[in-house]
Amino acid sequence: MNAWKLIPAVIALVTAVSIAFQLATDTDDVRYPVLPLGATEVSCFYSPTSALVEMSFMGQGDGSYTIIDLDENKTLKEGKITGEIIRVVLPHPGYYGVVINGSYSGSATIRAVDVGFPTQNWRAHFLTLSLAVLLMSLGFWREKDDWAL
Amino acid sequence: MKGLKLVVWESNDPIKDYILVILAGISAFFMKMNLIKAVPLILSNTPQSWLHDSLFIMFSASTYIPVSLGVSILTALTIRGERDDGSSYFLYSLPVSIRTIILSKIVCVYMHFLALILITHILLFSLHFSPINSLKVVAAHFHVLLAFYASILLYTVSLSALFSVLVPNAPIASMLSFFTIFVLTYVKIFNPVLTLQNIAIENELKTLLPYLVVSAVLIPVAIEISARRDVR
Repeated sequence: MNAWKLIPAVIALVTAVSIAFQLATDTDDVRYPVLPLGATEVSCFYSPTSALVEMSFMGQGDGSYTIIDLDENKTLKEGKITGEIIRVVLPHPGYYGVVINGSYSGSATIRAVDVGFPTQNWRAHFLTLSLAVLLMSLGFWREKDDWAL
Repeated sequence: MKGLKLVVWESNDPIKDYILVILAGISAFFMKMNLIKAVPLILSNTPQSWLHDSLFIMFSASTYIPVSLGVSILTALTIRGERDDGSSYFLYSLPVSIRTIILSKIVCVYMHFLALILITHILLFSLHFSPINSLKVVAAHFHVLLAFYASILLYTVSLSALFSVLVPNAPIASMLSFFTIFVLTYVKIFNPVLTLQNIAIENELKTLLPYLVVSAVLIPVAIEISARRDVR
């Protein structure tokens, strides 16, 4: 097997593994840490997949929250802390942060309600997989005598 | 140039390619699991993206074990293969010195593994996160990743090359070198997971020096021993 076939085969296999595991990710697999609030300006957490999460605040004082997308520099949701449960959509796997304005101090717990496959990554996966398979078939086609890998 | 031709000729062996493809699948499995199961919490005073943290989380002990096992098996098969199946006379009667032949075998395995592990790591990372941001992060930290994998793989390949030159049987040589690499992870300076953490946190490439020193000693020793041995 020459590089024409080996590298596309590796790329296709890795992409297939990535698709399979991303599809198999369940709400039970996704865990979020308890975020301490008020001690620092930003508490960052990592989401391994795109998810719909419920966030609840526990603590004392007054203040408002802002949930930000650190990878794309966007604000996802903002409002006053009233003790109600907030629902936020985390649009892609990556890092997010909670910023507290005011005298509020306490903690936030995050629970995943639903997880899904991020749209942008879905396209990237299928594009890579189809390109790799196309290159691999070109590699097989070029080698006329030997049909074995 | 003759050495380069030998490298190309060595890389056309189909069994090695099967092992490489299977190994890419196994290491992709563990790297993806590390990305899905990771729960990092970062407290910071300035909002900034921490994607480079995930780039270094992907490599863990569970990735290192299959990689070192694959390196051991493939190096032993490459160096010992012809001697085991009795076709070594054809190879060693070529108008190339034995030292060049052994060196080109080692270089072949090394280049294959370096390309394989870099492709697997970068592809999985950029597919998992949003492609544009992750490619920027990869471009910024590519030199660290390349230096890390280059020295780790040089170390494992040199250890298994020495074992496969010393031990007269490919399976036994591969198992011995795998267990040696595994036991050496208990020494702090030869534990690649700790090394990667050091590099990622303190950005010190000095921690890679022990691997380079060991491989700079072991590869010439392996080549010299094999040149003095009977090719059969």
